[in-house]
Amino acid sequence: MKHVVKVVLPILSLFVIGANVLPVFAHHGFQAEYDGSKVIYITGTLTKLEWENPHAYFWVEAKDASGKVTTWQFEGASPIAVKRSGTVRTDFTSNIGKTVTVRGTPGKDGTPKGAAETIKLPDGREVVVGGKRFFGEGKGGSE
Amino acid sequence: MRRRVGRYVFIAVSFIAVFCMAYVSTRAQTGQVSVPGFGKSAAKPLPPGGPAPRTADGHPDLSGVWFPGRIGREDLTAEGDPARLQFDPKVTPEEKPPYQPWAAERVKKLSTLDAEILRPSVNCMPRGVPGMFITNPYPVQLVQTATQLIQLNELNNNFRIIPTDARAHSKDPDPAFNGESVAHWDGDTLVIDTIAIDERTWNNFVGWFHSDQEHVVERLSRPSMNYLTYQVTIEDPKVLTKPWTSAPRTWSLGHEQLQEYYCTNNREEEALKSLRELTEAPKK
Repeated sequence: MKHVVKVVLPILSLFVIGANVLPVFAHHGFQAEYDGSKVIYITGTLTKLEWENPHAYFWVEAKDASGKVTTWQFEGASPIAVKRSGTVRTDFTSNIGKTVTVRGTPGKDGTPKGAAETIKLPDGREVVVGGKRFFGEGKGGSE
Repeated sequence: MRRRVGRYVFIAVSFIAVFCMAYVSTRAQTGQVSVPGFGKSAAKPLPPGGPAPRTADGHPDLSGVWFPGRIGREDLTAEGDPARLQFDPKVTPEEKPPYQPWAAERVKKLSTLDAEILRPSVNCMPRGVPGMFITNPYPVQLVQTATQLIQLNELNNNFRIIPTDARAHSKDPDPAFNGESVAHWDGDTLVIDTIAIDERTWNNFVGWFHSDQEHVVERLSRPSMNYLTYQVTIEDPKVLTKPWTSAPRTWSLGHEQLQEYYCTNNREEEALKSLRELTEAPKK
């Protein structure tokens, strides 16, 4: 079994770490900072919006099963692009303090942040807040 | 001997089992490929819209608010749809920049994260020429008069004013982000000639730097009411081995006003620097 411990396990570790952690960088800013090969859905309370250039930001407080609250920071596209795609500032401001679900891709640095694609509002609408960020498993995207 | 073979079989089976668990784990973290809408936008390319309008002097009138791509507006859900792109590389592929060997080496040394951090746009600098067309995802407004073409860029509320009277360049103009542009008509095509471009601009997002000798020739035409065609040739004898010509790029007519867009305090830059500290060893 010594072989297993000395040789195989380190190799296995490298393989597993490589498959799950090493970033696959593409040339788009979002894809350097966020992992376009994973998708996350975060449900929680919308607490704050910064509707500013170059990109809109908003925050969601999400509670896990143990009751621990984590504040997630989400980055959207530029307010102009979001607005032109049909989502307006009041879609956020009228829902501060209410429960939303954000779909996006997670940051690569392990902090609770994400690049948002859509936000599902209390009235049931799922509206666009960013461009396409999730490109499928193992794909970083090409644009 | 039998025990040794058994041990190797055990190791191999363990390896496969752990790999499978890791793979399943990775898959379990991912969900559907994309929300309905992304790549399935209802956005459709505009029709030609009839002949291009002409000015009193007979030239095509390039005036209008123009959006990159063929849908005449912004639509984030259309990302991935060729109709939203300035050109479809599957239809009109573009040659890679023909770098001189030293320049190719310099660009090659950039990790993708380096390129992200160093690209001028992450510092909110102007895209310059030809970036204001070829790396610009935001609309531009063109205002054509008898003697000038005025280009208003929503991106960073930036502009350039181009004399269209076929004048020559001034002698040794000062460098500027947008350089010095002069233009003349070649039939129905406006040919814009630009020099003296600030060396801090890039021609793409992945490190295409240029020298003080860069010479940019842009060709603008309006094949129909709803479409603008843009093509650029870049000469740079200090960096390139030969001139590079883009694919014809398509912009389409929008019907809304430009908005204010200033890139300020971009948080991406700091986030990317932090990411580099986490993921890459310091470089010598």
